[in-house]
Amino acid sequence: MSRLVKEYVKIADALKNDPTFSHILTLAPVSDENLHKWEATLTGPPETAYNGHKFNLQIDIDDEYPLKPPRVQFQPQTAPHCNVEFDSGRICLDLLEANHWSPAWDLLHCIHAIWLLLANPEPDSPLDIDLACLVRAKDYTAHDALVKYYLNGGSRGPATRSKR
Amino acid sequence: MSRKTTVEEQISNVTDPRDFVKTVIPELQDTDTLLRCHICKDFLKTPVLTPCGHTFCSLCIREYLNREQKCPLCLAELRESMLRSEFLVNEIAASYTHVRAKLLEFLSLEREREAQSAGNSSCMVIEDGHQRNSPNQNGEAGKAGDGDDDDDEIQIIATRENRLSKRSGDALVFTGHKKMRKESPGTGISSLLAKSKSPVPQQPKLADCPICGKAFPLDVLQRTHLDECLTTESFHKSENISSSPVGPKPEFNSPPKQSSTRNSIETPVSTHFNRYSESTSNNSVTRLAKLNFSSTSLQQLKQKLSSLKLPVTGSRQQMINRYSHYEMLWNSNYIDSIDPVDESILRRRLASWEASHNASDGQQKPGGISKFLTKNPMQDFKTDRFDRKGWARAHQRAFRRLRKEAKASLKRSKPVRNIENTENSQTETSSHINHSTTIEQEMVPSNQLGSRNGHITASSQSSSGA
Repeated sequence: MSRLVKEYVKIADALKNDPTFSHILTLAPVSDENLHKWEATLTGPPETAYNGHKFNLQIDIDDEYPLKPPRVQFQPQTAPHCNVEFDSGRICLDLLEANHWSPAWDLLHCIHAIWLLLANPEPDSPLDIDLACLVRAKDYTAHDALVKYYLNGGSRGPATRSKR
Repeated sequence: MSRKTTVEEQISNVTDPRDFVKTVIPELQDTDTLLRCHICKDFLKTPVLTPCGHTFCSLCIREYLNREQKCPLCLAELRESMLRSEFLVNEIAASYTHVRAKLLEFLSLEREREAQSAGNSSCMVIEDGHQRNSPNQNGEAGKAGDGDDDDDEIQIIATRENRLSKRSGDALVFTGHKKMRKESPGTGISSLLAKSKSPVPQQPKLADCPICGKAFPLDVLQRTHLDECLTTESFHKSENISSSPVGPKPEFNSPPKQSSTRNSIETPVSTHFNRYSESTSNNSVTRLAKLNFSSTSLQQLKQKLSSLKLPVTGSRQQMINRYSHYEMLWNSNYIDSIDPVDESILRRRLASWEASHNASDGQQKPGGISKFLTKNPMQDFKTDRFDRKGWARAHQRAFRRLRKEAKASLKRSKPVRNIENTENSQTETSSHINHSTTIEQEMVPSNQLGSRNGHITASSQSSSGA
């Protein structure tokens, strides 16, 4: 609990003053009363298909944080990415899993790592098979085009729905 | 509890390394960061060192190692038994936190002054009235127009202040020092030298060699000449060897002695140093072992808990959690801490932890902590896990009295009156015997009380019958 308060202060300061986190537009608790639910807004990394788009993240922190990782998700159906389950927004990132998490990380690290993940898809542990296949085939043109299509509101039929 | 106020309150209490960014010495934020634990992000409390060279709060790392057996920083394999306490870091962190607020205040004040004096010398704008600083300011502006020099001095003083106030944490330091500075700007350096632990002044001051009587710069004299002089002397006059070391000794000793007397005024106690130098590893209390819970029966678990004077309430899982957390507190306290606290304090800490983390199924929640603190013996009363023999032994006197009364009242054979009677005597006797029970009784709802008394009368009747 007290650690979250510390992070809150640190994050507020870092977002204001630290240019390395300029891609994180917001990172704050949903309400002042509850420090266990946070929201973040990221800008898409430049020179990727995500450039120019904003992404909302929902962060749930349970009582055992920082011994347990926070649960971070994209807003459902907003982030087409080979390591993100499109419909739920679930993120596959080793950092966010209990056995790879380290309490030395903090929320700022997590969000930064997710931003890096946007730019560096990891096709070996995919949550979105279609995009992962394209990345694996190194067909980045197709990958980027597909991502852009979804980002601009293209619908995913049930056939292309991601599988676990 | 209203979360909102506590959050706001907490935020105002939070210290962050970046507090130093806006002071004269922004580099201090590095120091500030280094003295913090990576897990709780607070200043290190009872730090322990891992074999991979990383330092964490004892409690933080132990709690983490209960889940994952690796170092949070480098992910190297790590077990609790590998942790070693770090008394020095403990005292460094403690003394730092002790002076941090003052240091910060002083440094940001210094920064304001600096900004103001810079403004003064460059464009002659009269400051808008920092009452506290203005007398100083004017004096300085009148005395010296060289702003560069002034800056340097502030830097030196500030770093010195840092070191100095770490030891003292005394408001006297600041005022005393400021006065000194006002009197003559030169004292900044000389006092710095006097303060420095090494007895070697860097000024080209000449001193007479106590052996050959020639004048040398002090530096040369102490570093090289004395040795040379002594060795050459020993060739010429062998009887001087014994007396000669006595000669230079006062010379060597006098400068640090002076500074130490001066220190004693400014730094009344250096408790952290004393604590460190007197620290010994505590071997009198043994490490509390981890239990293999899967092969421990409920009975064994309870025995273990009660042997540690811990309550045996709640579900099995709660008891396991309780034991694990207490084991952590215990080992952190007795193995890692520089001055361990008493067991009762540990139990209180466990209680407050339990209140927030080991929530029970609901029925026992009201009054959970206070029950805990009073070591409630009446728990599990209705279940067959209740330690009847122990209870009977503890309240032998009360039972005997009850039995007598029961026999007496049995003759009158009025059951309603009987219960009433025993109820009164029960509260009476228990107040004699165990204070905690009375507290407990006040908290027990009346229906429970009734059932308990029913039981006692029943048992007393049965024993009287036997």
